[in-house]
Amino acid sequence: MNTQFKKGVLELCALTALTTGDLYGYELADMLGKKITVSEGSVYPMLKRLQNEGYFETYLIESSTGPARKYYRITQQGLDRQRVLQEQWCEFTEQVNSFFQEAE
Amino acid sequence: MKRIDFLNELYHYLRALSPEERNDILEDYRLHFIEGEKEGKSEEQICEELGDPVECARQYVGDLVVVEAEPTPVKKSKSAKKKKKNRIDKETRRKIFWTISFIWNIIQAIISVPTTCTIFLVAAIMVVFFCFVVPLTGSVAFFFFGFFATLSVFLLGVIVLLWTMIEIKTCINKINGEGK
Repeated sequence: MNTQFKKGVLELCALTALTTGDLYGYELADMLGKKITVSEGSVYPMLKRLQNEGYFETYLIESSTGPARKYYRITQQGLDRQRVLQEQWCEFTEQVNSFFQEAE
Repeated sequence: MKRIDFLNELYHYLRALSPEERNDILEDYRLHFIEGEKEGKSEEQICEELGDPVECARQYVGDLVVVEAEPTPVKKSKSAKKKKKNRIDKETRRKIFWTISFIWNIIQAIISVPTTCTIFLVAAIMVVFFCFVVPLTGSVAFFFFGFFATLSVFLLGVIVLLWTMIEIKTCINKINGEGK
């Protein structure tokens, strides 16, 4: 899949994944990497960007088996952003799908 | 690719950022490796899943700073192209000049070491020679001639020694300077 295209979707998926609960960096990278076959390395820059834009907050939790884990928590601003992006996505895919149906 | 290679490369291409930001970013990837290894993945496997470190760095710093890693052809106006070419020429000229002057420094340093040794050796021989010959002749003029001749050769040796040290120091400075 096109990388530019994926980049936009990646943001929406990260926001969506965090609506159900906080996750730490590796969990998010692993999940996104597997589900939308994006290179996991590009998840971290995206997370940092969204954090800078105020959509996420981070906090550390000590782990008994290793170093502290950095957890991501979605903010109210992030929830609003997720809703807007999801609406746009659904609208867009409907339009594209109707285009396919006409072509058949 | 191993963990250390990935992190080094990423760190290198983040050089436009402050050390704190670089370390902060590196920390995310270090933790990623630790978590991945806990799940039984190899370093190579984790690197593969992470993808290209240059690409990761690019997403933090933008295209400008990592451009040397992968020159992407960009359409430019004629003048901009020319300007760029000039800059490259200037850079190449600077490099050529640097290399030539560096080689010259090395040659001078190499030549001046045996020269210094020879001159001091000659001075020593002269001292011995005059010590034997002057008492034999008993001439005061010959004594002064011997004394000043030896002294001037010795001073020449000191000058060449200083020159050697300066050349070697210049070489070292140049090597250090270019490494940065």
